[in-house]
Amino acid sequence: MAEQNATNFNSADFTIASGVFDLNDAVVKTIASDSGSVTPSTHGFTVTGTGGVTTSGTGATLTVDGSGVGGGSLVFLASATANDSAALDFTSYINSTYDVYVFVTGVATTDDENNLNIYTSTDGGSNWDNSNAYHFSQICSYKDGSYSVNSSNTNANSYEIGHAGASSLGVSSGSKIYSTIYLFEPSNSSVNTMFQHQAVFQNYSGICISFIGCGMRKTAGDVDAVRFTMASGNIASGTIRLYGITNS
Amino acid sequence: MVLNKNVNGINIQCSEEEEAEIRAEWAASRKSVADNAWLNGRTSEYPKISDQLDMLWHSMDKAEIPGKGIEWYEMIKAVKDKYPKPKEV
Repeated sequence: MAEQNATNFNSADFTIASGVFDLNDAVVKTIASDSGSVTPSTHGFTVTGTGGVTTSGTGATLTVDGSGVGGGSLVFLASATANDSAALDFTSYINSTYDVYVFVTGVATTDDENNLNIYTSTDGGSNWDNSNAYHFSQICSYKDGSYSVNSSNTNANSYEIGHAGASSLGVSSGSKIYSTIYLFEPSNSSVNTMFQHQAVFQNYSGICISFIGCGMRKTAGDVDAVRFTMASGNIASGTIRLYGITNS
Repeated sequence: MVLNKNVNGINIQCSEEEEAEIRAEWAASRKSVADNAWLNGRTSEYPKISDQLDMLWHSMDKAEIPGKGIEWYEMIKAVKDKYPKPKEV
């Protein structure tokens, strides 16, 4: 009963049966010790207060503290907005701060039957790796359940998001290339920088296509810059955002 | 037309050398697309592999091609018999 007084619960407000604790009404429960509260609702509850929420069970404990909820592990670094741009370059943000970087794209083309090309640089963008520098492969899934595989086979001048033919972006669809592209350990000079991407867009005839792909820079090196271009023509509009994923 | 680029969020004009490099990459890409148009066209329009195999099975079943009674034919037939297609479909 002392515990009931401390949390302002009335005995009619809760029941305990078969190990389940049930709140019996939709009343805000005040946590008197630090002025927080617990508010039951139809599909869950809201907790306020600086103490956060801790759940525990046999053999396992899950704790969500205030910093975890407020911070997150994705750190926004930069964005580039296209305006009939031949290239969107990120030359100042990729270093050893993070092991993994993420680009999020939503860009449109000026030319029909297009795809997004990615290039790396190890000298801050003075020179771009654009000659047989990459391996990649991606599975393209179509609405009818069919799929195709695009790959560089041996060498590619760029890392591709999308491809020619039915798996290319078109002007007529009005779609953008929406994608997330992971870059793994770009600053580790002893490993080949690896890519992984997921993408979706409408092709030049309006059909929705999804992509899952991966690849790598063929030679090890300290990658410190990344360039995006269309395979042909300018990036008409849209934005690419760069994030770092905190290591811990 | 002069090419522009966006570097770290700032719009600037490409140098002549850089513009030539980008235009060369665009041209190479267009050539690759043109050279492989036949392949991309076929890949785009081939039916799903499962549909192609089903067509082959039915051709065997109608004796248009040999193969009726082989292990693969019988295996597919067993599945079809187990889940018969309703007449109204």
